[in-house]
Amino acid sequence: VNYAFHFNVVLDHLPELLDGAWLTIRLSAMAMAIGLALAVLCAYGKTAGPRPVRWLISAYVELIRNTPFIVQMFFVYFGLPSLGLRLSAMAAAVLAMIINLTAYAIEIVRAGIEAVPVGQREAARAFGLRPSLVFGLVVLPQALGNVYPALVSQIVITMLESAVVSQIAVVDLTHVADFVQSRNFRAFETYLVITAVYLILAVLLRRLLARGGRRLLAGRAA
Amino acid sequence: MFANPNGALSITIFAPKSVNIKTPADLAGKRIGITRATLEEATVPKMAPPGTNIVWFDEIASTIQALLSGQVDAASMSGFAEKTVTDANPDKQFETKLLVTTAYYGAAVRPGDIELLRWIDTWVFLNTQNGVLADIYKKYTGLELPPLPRF
Repeated sequence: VNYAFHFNVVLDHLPELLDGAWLTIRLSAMAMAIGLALAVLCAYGKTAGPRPVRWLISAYVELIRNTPFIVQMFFVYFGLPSLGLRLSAMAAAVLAMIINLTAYAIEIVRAGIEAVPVGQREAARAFGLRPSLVFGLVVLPQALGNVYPALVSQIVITMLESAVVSQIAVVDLTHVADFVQSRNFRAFETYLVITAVYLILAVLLRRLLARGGRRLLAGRAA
Repeated sequence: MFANPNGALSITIFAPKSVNIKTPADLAGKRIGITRATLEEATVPKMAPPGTNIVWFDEIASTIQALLSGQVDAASMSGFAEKTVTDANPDKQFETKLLVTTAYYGAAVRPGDIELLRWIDTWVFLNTQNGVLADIYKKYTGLELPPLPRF
């Protein structure tokens, strides 16, 4: 291999790259917070809701899980304006990420809910807890504990997949890298650097979520 | 070695009629879509005043789509591309707002091949004078050939 690496031309753009990474973090955090909340809500609806609600949530999950993320994002950014809803690139990116993460997370949380033994629910009811409390205090913590590693993986995937939002002019880490390498023609070095940044972000995110999960789920998370 | 230019490529900023852009100063506060790693990327940011919101896309299809869906107020690309977009979307009433730059292109010959260079220059000169180049340009681009410089 006879390739001379020139990382200095990439590191010249370090401030922009860090700005891009920060945007990637913000996008992922928003998608995670809202996506997980919606997923828990919908997973409850899918296991305990009336039939039309269950059907609607299933249709949504199937639609999103069986279409590519980039197409969903293009639909939100380029398609919705035709229907009169024009979102900024940033809003479109967050919305697309939420829509995508929610669909996957619903299925994960639902699996967790169904894995909670029926006896737990029956015992809680025998104590006289309201159905909402049975779910919130007894079923949900155990359900999330059951599937916590899978949820964390899905969140990390969402963060990594957010690279495609660069396609709708959101100046995330990948967008900055595309820009930098089109200026200095050092594609190899540029993408090597952002690969490292994504890797670090993913590892940190996993650690953070594992620690947060242990605290939140009181030792139930694996 | 380069022969005299036989054609030109203009970079323009265009937008729907309703968008008010008459001078580069009007770009301030507007969203201008441009494609990364193109001539417009090299020129538009230089003419745009502070406060212009330049929106970068990875390929021209996205830039065009952003303009059509109203995600940007105006877009910058070659005059050829502008004409294709304008003709394909008469309902949008696109019009050229600003001429950003004009790049001229000419044939390149091997260094030292003076004979071929002279031949091409003569051909370009004659066919500029008799209008053949302008006709060819018009036929294939739909645009008027701008005056070509001589070197």
